[in-house]
Amino acid sequence: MISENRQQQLSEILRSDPVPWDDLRERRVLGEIQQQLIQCNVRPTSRFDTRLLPFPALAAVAAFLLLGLGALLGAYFFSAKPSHPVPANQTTHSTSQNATPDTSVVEIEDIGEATLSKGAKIAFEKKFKNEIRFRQSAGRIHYSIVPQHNRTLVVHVQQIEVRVVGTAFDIEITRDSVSVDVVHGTVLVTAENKRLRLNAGERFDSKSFSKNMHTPNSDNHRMEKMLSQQVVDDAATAPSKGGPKKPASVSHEFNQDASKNIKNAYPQTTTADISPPTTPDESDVTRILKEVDKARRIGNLNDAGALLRQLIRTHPRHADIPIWYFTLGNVTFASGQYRAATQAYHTYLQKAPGGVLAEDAIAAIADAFSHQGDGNAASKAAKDYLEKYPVGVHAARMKAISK
Amino acid sequence: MNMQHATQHTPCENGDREIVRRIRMGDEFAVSEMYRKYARYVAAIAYRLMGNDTDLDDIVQDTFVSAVQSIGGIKDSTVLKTWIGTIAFRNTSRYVMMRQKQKRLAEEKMHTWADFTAPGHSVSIEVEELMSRIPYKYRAPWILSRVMDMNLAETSEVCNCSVATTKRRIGKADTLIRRMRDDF
Repeated sequence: MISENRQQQLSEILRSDPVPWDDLRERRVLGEIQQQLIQCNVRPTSRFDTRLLPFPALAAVAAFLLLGLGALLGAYFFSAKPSHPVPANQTTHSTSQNATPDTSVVEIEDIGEATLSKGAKIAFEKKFKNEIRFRQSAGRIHYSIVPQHNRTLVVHVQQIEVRVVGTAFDIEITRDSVSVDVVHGTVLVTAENKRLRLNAGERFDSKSFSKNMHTPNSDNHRMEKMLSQQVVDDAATAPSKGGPKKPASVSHEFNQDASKNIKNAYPQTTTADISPPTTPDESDVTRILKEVDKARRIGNLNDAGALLRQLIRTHPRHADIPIWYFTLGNVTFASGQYRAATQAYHTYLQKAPGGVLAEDAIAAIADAFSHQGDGNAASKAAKDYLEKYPVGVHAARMKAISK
Repeated sequence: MNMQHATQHTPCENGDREIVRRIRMGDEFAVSEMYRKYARYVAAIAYRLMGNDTDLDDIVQDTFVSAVQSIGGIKDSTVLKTWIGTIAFRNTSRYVMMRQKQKRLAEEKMHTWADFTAPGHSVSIEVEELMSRIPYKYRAPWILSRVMDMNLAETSEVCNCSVATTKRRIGKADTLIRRMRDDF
């Protein structure tokens, strides 16, 4: 028989067996993963994990399925069609989320999340097979929605409806107006029976919109004419009458013509009403990043570095700047430009001191100094790493460098 | 990755949320970030459960490809680590079962846990043999808990069974180990 002491010893023996996983292997597998993701065109899916549903939610779903069945039977026997489509999965209560003193994040099922600023309020309204509806009643909320063609997020704000499929935007309710700012993607705003398509960087302001719509002047007439492609009569698509309808004109593409039209449509308004795009053109960023990836895959590291530098130069305020510096570090390191790599990693650490790649960046700096033959600097960086991450992924290598 | 290392990533919850958000938006770099952060953790789970590194690369690769594919289904992005651990466990279990089946078909008298030819394997044959005698369903939670220092909640989450069942299985593995000969 094995005593408890021996059992502990067995654990220790197994624990002492090192996992055969090193940087080289890590990189090789990463390369294979990237290749597989590209070759098989693997994209994140929106599969809803039913195992994560809490029991009350399952009970609610079951209850509503029964209710839906009852309603269908009732409709059949009384020969009356339901005036409203039966929700596929509707919960019984309406939840209201108040923001905490700073901000709070509410996950909107599997389609995205809403970041509530102080004083903001959002309430769940209804859920259908193809759309989910919320009502925002106060404050400013930033919505970040996953590109997902089969479900639409609808936000009702006072008399305004905002429809989105894969985008990021803000809605702010002030005392006398409602504004919608589109960060990227496209949203469809319906106000006063008119539907307006907003692209990235554009803004809708209910006060200015209402003023323009109700002022009988030549500008207003011109506006309606110029918006003829974006503004469509919404009488048939009013949610309370016709039920949910998939927006036909929602598009992920950046429509520059639409942007021009909207700007022309409001000749008398200031930039506060229809502001010019303030966010970088994401399609441009994505394109360059894809080119960087391509260049790296075929081993053209100098081109990859040049592209990254161009990206950093042209989008100096982009949120992903730290990551680009880190990647630039990797690219220059791989091409043997250790001094440039050190600088890039240092810049990453300056821009994202607590970033998820900080550990790797410090280790890479030590490696880069070591390759440059600067033993003191390498040792210093390695010690810095060991101080911060004594049992980190690169600890063993850093220990060797620090000696 | 032991607990001490985990505490080094104090802002990991926010980082995980950001990683999940970016992967959902189609950011390829975020996939690399997630990989670099959890590859070693996944490799450790796979290696400890398999006992060798024959299929280690494949398991790690499958785990991350599955993770990217199904990241839309993650409800709470702050538990990314456990979620990836669950996928790793599922994939490893699939490989273990597959290998057991292959060996049964080949009618080879080999134990299922160990592969003596595995490079860099420092555990003695006796220990491997001992481990191979414990059924996988008891061995897996025992290894995660006793060797990888996962707490009970984490172990049950990764094994996709209740805390009570996990506790019972670990206890059963303990009992089985105690009944074995003291020869390692």
